[in-house]
Amino acid sequence: MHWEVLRTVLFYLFAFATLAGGMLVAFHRNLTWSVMGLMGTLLSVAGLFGVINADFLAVVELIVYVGGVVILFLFAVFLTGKIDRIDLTNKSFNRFWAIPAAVLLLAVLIYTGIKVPFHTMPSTTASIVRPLGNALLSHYLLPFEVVSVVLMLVLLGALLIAKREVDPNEKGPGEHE
Amino acid sequence: MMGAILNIGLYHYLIVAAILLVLGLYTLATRRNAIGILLGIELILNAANLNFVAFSGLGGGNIGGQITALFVIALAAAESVVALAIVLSIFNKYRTISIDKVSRMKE
Repeated sequence: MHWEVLRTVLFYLFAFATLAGGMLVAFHRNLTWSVMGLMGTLLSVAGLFGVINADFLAVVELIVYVGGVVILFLFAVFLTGKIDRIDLTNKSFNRFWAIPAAVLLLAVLIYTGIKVPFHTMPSTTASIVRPLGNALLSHYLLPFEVVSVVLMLVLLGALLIAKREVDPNEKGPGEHE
Repeated sequence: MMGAILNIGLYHYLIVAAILLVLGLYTLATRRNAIGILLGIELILNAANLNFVAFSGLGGGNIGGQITALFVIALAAAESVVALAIVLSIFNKYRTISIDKVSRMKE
């Protein structure tokens, strides 16, 4: 009984924080605040994963997203400069059409989501880590390995794309006369 | 009615994920800053992940949804790395990342 109450409280806490972060991403004019909102969203989504016993996935979300992707976004925001000039960096367009379309889509999604009678089960409290590892290394072995190759290629490709073009006439730091 | 609100089930997760998805789409539609658009894509991917995990945890105990969410997280990280590298490269060349101003792939 106590666990059920705690689960409900935690769910509403994390759901509220998720949506607040999402609204910060969608509506705030300053891009740095949007990245901070994304960080709040990702932290709370990890919490939502934890509430329904997806503990391993919650930790992966924390490590990969909050520890990696958000830092990357912050670097990109700061490196692309002029972040204090909102009129230059973060103008907002299409509000006239985007708001009605978004509200309409949300209504359709929630209506259909509630109407469809999904077959639901109460979540278990047994740890998911052992079956997850067994499944990854047996039934899902090929996609698992392909993802590792993709990550390797992404590492090399990002280095290649983002490296600064060096002017051949420019002298390096060690080549002074 | 109170029971439907207090007993956390699949539908609660579906509603949260739907709102998150719509917020992401709204971000995609209104931003003209390339990094802002990537933030919207992250929101959409997280909404999809939330649905995958909710169906896996509350809709029958099948582990496939969590595996898919794991792959989505790994590939989303890869996607944002490459996309941000491209954004930085564009910024170095054009000194702007507004997608209205950048329309050529080559000089």
